[in-house]
Amino acid sequence: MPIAKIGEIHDLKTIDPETIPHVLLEGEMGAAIEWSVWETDHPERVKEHVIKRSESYVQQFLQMMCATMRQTPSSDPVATIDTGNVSRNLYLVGGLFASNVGYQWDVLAGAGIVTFGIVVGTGAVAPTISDYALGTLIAHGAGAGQLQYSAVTFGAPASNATTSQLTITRNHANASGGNITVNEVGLYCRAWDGTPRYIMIIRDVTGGIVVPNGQTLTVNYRPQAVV
Amino acid sequence: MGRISTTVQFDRLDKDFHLLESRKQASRSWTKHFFDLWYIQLGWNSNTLAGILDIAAAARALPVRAEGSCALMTSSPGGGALAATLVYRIGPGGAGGVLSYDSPWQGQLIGITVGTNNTAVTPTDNSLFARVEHGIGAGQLEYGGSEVLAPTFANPNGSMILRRYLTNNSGGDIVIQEAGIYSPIYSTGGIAYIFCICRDVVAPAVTVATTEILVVTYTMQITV
Repeated sequence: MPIAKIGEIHDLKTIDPETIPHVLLEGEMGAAIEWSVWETDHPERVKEHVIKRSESYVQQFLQMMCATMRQTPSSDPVATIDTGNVSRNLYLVGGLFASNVGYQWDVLAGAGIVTFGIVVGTGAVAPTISDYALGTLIAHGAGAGQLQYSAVTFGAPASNATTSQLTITRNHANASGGNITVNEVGLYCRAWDGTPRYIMIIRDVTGGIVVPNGQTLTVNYRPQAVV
Repeated sequence: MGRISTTVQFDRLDKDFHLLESRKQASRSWTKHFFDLWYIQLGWNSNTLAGILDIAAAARALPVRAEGSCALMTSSPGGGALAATLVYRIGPGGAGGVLSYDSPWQGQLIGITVGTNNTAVTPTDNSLFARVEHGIGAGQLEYGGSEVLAPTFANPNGSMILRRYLTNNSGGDIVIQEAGIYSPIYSTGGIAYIFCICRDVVAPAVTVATTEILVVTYTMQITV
């Protein structure tokens, strides 16, 4: 059995402004979700590639946006359910603060971290506005039913005549020895109530994405707007 | 489904707050700068950008400070033309010290703003084309505070309201043909600059007569 590796991301830092694919109608803002399954040792061998509209910003997205737009101080936090189903009083530490505190929307998770960034799961229940976590998160690892999470990477914001977007990317390599079926994808971010808290802002039920052993699932979230 | 639909509503009131006109249109124009500012926040302490045009068309580098990355996307300032030393927030939580440091900003330059030019929107618009200034002179409106109300939810929907009152004491009519949202963010060295994150052409135009009040309400809605 080949040893699966966490795949490298192709250069996503620059997006050709003339060729931004979007899934939105004129005047809309939303996100595209794009995934591909490829052989871990042969990235050119893509088995599946799908781009579709991300269906489900959940309530924590608006609560986080409210806190950000208000520059909410600790004296007036925005109560938000974290991924453990606990209400957290989130606030922002604007102005002067030390590094690594006062997180707001941080999705820049390192390899192996499943508390934030793009995460995947096996739950297939349809999303609701009050979803606070994936139904069943797939753990990081090479054991049965586990996937190896890469670090999150970004494609910087870009625009063409009508469309603006940025890209968030993560790879999930299967070295478990068996097939794993991903049914849901989410975007968790790290926020702050005096200590780091983890908040889900998007949950998509994808239908079964089969990731065979030795293959890697790449997920891109592309928040977009079309004027 | 699966989108953030935004509407912008224009309510025109007389000086006694009686409703004279109410009209709502789809807001269609979150600009690239919305994503620029969000990108900085999503990549905490890592993502940077250069050459981003602020509302004065000056290229800015975002955002890294010695203390760490701090991104702001507020639209909840105080109203009017504020002094050089200011506390921006008048929204919930009172006069928190969040943004209470010396700055060249004025409250009228943060949050919902309006203008008189109907040039079509592009994703790279960096400001309104002819923004109405705060004041009581010819062609000016008095800007109230820009409010951010708490979001509300009823499955499958959620919504959040951004709102601002603007009073015409200029002595003449003012024809509003564009609206938008301005937002600050820290730049290198801890200095903050202001960016246009949304711009809409108002069609048909809204004419605000002297002594009248214009209420501009942006509603962001998500639907799963």
